[in-house]
Amino acid sequence: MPVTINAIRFNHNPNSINNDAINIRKNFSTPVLYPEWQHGLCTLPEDSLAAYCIKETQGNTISIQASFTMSNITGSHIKIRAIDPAKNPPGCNGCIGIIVRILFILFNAVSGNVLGEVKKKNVTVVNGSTGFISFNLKHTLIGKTGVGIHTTMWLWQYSEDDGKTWKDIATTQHRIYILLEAPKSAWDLTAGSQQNPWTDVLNYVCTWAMLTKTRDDAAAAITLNVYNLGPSILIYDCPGGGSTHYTGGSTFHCTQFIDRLKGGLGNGQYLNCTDCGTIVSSFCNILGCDLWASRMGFYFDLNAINAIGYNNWISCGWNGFSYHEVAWKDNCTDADAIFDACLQVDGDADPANAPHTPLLPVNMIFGTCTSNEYRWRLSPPGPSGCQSCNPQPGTRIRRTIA
Amino acid sequence: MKKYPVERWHEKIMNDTNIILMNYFLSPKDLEGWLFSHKLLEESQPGVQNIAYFFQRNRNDIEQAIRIDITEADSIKDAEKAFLFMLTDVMAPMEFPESEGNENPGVICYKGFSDIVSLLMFLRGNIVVRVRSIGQKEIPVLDVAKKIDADIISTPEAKDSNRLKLNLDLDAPAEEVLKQLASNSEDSSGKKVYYKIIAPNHRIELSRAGIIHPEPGVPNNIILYAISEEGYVSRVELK
Repeated sequence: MPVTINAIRFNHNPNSINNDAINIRKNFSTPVLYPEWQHGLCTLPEDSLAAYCIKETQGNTISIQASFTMSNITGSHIKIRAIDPAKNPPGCNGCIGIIVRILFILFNAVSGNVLGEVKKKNVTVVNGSTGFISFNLKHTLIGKTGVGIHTTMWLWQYSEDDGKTWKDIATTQHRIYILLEAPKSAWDLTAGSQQNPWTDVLNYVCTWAMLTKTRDDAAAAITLNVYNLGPSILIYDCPGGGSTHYTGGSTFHCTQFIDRLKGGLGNGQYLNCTDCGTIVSSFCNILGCDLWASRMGFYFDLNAINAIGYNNWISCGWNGFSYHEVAWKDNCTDADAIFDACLQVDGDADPANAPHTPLLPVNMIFGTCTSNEYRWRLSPPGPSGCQSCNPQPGTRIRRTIA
Repeated sequence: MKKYPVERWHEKIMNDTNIILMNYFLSPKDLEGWLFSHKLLEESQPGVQNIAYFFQRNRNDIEQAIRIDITEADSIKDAEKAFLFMLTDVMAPMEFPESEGNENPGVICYKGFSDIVSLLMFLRGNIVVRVRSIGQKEIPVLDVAKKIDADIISTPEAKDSNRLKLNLDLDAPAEEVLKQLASNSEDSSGKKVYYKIIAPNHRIELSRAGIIHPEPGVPNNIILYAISEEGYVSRVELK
């Protein structure tokens, strides 16, 4: 093979997110491979990782960089491009052909190539090497299908006759994460920060919030998926009085939480509202949401609730909370909406009494003691109930991801 | 609001043998029958260091697992505050039940809200300990808690003390030695070391290296033990 592709950079400008990929890392201790694709090191899509933000790249030309070495090339100028080898569905006739095409389109929308193709470009060869060259992408689908994890496969080709005939170089595969917009604190896009978005987290949130196109829809999907981790993976900490297990002060023990999601011990099976509020806000903010973990309180009576991991309205059997913490929008006041993965409230017209209609609070205004919103559903009327369940915006926090 | 009998705690702990630990750690090999998984350092409140240790019964087994939180304060008074924080920084609106009886670890001991004693929190000297079952199967933790308490109150025998190369001027007055301890969590060969100070007739505050010596006529003895991760023990009587 006279032409070899050596490496591909997706995040070729670590200070910009408008035309290329963002700074990411695998987890707290492990950075991603950079350049993101390297000859000899990358075989599978998961060996080559990159993430893009829909909002910031909207309307912009996305570019990548790639480097090549060449031998036995007659001219010093050749053209290089990469096409999508899976662009066309397998050819079948009749009904089966139609079904195959529909499935193919669906598959592509959910997890297929999102970066389109690499536009052909004249390349100058010096001493058999090109160095890194910028290529523009065409037919990208970033933003068309919302949040997701996609596999992009490129067949790299070169032409020595001005594009009349093309010869194959190699096929490369990449795992591409699509985020709604730039991740928000406590995530940090500064190059080299351990708070760069983790692919260990993106693997979950981009699946849970797949195809969502707004912050609220993504946050709702993540809240639902966290709540549904009970009871097999997580359960509300009744024996321990509802103490936190996955946070410590201003730190979110995300590494241990991911370990738990993967079937490991993590920090154990228990969690509380602080954990839920922190998990939801952190996991949503990596996609570009703008949530806080914030408390309400203090010492207030409860209506019946169905805590995470308990499939009943008794849960711990307590008649109140000393405090409660949720993922909260904006200023974390009574006018702002909350996302609560810790418990279901009664969603009917009489939350103080049975029967109870399970309702997971997603994007629900905190509200007042008389409006049919979160506060009214969580806590019964009266001085020891709803009137003691007040927003505590001074407690709002975005915990460091560790 | 939760109301715990803090004054009674103070009275009980002041009548207990005066033990202060510094840089205390559990050795992964300390708990027979348990495999060390990982540990986390946390600062729950300023000046109060918490280390959470996680153990599994078997590797890759999530059925039986325990978490041990060791919170070390600079003084007995700060330990009481840390203990109160541990008991109150939870969502439950009511107090944890006190664990009664002579079998309990610590000077003060509280348990969780389960019929199985799967959670125990106790106070001993300047150390607050919480032991709890965190695996899929809820298991009792009394034995583990008692073992840790026994370790805290034990009077170690000097062992291979020549293998511990402490960077301390042990001829200095006791107050000066205490000041040196904080910055010497390892010996000169890099071995992790914790210190146990047994001073039955003194009151000691580590943060200020403050020592209230006993009345005349009462024995004036402060014993400092340095204990390494490998189990080497050095014993020194401070001046």
